[in-house]
Amino acid sequence: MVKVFKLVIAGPYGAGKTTFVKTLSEVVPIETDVPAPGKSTTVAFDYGKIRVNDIVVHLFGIPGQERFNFLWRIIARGMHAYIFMVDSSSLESVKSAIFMYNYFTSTFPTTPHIVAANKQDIAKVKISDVRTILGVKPDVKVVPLIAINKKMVLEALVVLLDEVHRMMYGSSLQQGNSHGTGNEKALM
Amino acid sequence: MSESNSMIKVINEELGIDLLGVLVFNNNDIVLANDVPGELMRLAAFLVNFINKVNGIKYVKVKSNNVLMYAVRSGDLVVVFLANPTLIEGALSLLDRYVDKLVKMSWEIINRAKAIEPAITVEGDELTEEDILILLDYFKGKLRELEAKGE
Repeated sequence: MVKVFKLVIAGPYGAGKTTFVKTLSEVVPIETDVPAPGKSTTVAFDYGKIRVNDIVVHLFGIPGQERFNFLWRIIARGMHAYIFMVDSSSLESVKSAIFMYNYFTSTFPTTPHIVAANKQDIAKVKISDVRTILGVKPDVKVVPLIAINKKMVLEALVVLLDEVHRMMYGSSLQQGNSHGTGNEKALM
Repeated sequence: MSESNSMIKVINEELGIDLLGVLVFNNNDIVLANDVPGELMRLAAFLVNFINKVNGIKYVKVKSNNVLMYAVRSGDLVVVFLANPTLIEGALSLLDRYVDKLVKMSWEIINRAKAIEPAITVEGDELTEEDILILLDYFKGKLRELEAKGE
């Protein structure tokens, strides 16, 4: 049987989850967005896929609105890790992520995750403030992100996988690793 | 959401009141909700969390400066009505007649959600440390490719 890695992209409305899945997926992502005032919003989930040898990475983008939170648990079931995205171009948007972040960290306390501060090209909220507002624990990494930038998306993914490795096998691969992403300095 | 917004409209018109919101919870998950501010949603979630922890509670009324919350348990679901605190508390019992309909709507939504479960259930052999290292190498390789191209 093929091996699977289930990765969930969580975060509030407008954080950029659909874009992240689009940027990373090797197949045409399945989107379930519908128009919302000023933009579109995900009503069921986004889905993308990457195949690496005999491992398939499944990407699931979760609808951001709190009223869909009954779907969060269903979609997240069986995930190996998640990236929690926020829109750092808006303080209000980062604050709106508190409920969802608390939900994920309390419902899936042992699942490896990182926080991605998206829209760094137009950021108004510092990464350190994202950490403070969400109450991110010191051992959880907060990374800068521009979801349309494939390099930054890959860097975030590498940081997450390193976190998965650290949590599952007790060691981080990035320190002293010649294949580091170069992104480590930006981590807060 | 549209279902919930419609219900609010119907209730307000039929009862001549100004209900702020209706939310339905399944355990601690929101199944149905109209456009209420996140702060009120969180207050309702706290109330439901309390109700779920105490056996035998059927109705709860809580009043604060800016909202009157009336929660009704129906089986596994809890319906929470959010009203203006100036609403006469006696009017709350009139809301009971809408509980069955809200519960029915909520189960329809829950069942629709369950119907997508097969599409999001991914099964495979257990991942090993080597698999995680393979994934890391692969994505680092992709990064190097991009850097080599100057992207």
